[in-house]
Amino acid sequence: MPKLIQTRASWVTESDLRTAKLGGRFGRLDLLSQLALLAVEALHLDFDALPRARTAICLAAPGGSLSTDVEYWNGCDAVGGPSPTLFAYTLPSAAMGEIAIRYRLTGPNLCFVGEDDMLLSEAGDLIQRGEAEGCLCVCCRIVSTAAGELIDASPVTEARAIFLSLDG
Amino acid sequence: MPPLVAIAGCGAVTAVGRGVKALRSALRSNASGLRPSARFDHPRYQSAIVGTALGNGGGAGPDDPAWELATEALQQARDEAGPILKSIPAERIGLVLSTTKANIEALERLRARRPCSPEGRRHLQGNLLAADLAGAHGARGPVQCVSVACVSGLVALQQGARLIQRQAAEAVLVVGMDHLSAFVVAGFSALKALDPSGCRPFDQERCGLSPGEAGAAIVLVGAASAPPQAITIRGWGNNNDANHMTGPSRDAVGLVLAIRSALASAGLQPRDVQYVNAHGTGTSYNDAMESQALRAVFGESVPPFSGSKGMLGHTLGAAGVVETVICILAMQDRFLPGTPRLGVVAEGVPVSVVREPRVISRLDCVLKLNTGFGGMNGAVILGYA
Repeated sequence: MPKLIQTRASWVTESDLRTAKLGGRFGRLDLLSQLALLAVEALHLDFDALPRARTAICLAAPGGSLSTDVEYWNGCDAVGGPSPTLFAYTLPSAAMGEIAIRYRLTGPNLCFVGEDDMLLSEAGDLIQRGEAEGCLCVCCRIVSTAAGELIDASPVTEARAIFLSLDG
Repeated sequence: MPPLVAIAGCGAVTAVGRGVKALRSALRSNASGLRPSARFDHPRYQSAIVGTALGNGGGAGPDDPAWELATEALQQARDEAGPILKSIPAERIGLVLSTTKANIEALERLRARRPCSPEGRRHLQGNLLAADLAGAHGARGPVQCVSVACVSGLVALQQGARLIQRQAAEAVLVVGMDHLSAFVVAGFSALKALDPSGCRPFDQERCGLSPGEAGAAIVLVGAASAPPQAITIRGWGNNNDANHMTGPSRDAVGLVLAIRSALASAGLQPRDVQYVNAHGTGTSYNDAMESQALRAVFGESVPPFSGSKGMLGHTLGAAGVVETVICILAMQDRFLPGTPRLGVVAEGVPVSVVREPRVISRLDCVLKLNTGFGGMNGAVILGYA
């Protein structure tokens, strides 16, 4: 079986957002998407050297999109109703979409709600099976204070990313 | 060829009734389960027409509808696969849940200070819902919660098949579920994405979708446990448009890639596909993009295709699973499902769109498609071993 290697790794938190320079659109994204993008940016990959249709994205979101869900639903009584823009981010996979759009990656996508324990094995499986040549693996852990109160969890804001590919 | 993955049982709780028998009957008569709901008859919502499966469209329902839909569908599927599943150790049975919002009912209740059980609150988290479903349905193998927008169901089937093919499990219970919620109906209303008259996929007057709810389950098993003459998952594809968060790409690049990946993984040519169950939301952009993708892959020989959301509504995380159940029933009974609520076919839609169900002599190869927010596209091919 071909050997897999992890070539890059990154870890970012909310404090890294203050110095992020990812363009004007970045500010309109939800926190989960912002951190996921920032974690991928911090890998400093040469995306032009990657086969874009053969590069997969695997995302684990232990808190799902609950923090964004709460923010969106808190706006439901606003004049004009809840925000349509925020509604699009009430899916944990929205962060994957943002990564795909920014780096023009058209390969397979996998998004899990839950801990990241299966992330590497599933990404490795995609590569070993030949469904992808490389995989961006991102774990984005976002629990706002309001969301944490609903699920008895402590607030946390961090994202980690690695790039997995075949050796050689 | 990769190891065989066969289908051993199905379950469905939908807007046309509880159980596969009710779904089969609605498919034969091309019935629509979409109805006006008093719950959504309010200026906040763009349309009150929805596909209600739990019969609570008019008022207060259970505080954990996610559990009700998923567990009932799972029980039906396990009943059908009974003798096969009983022969497999629980440690070799996995579960993959497909959902976009899990039990979002709990968020609505807690914000409105209405009662919500600890279980209802716990099931706000899809991974905990999946774990509890696995515990209740005898699955002690790998448990995953997949959430890839409206492609979740097809990705969950792909994940189930991958687990079996790499021998992480001998059987996988794939369950798709999303329940109707003010949260989702208000969101699509804010996007102006609902058809006030109810969705009409591929119709010239189409102007949006209709939300629906469903629980659907499919039992997947490996070669050693496959029933005779079983329908199998032949191949799949899953690609991103990399184009826009809420709109499909105008050039259909992601869906074309997904279909071609599915055909390649199944070792099939476009001419081998006998029927396509489309995503068919009834939004003008989706249906146009899907028509374009079909032409790009099949040329002027687009196979017969139809859409099922005029019957069930858009069931989001359940869509891929319940619409695959429809494909399975079509293969078993040898008929082409129709496109409920389709009147005049829109310009640009391939002429092979199937309006009314019709019986055919054989149906051996079916392509199921879904697309979703975030540029997601999925394809699964069903066949016989």
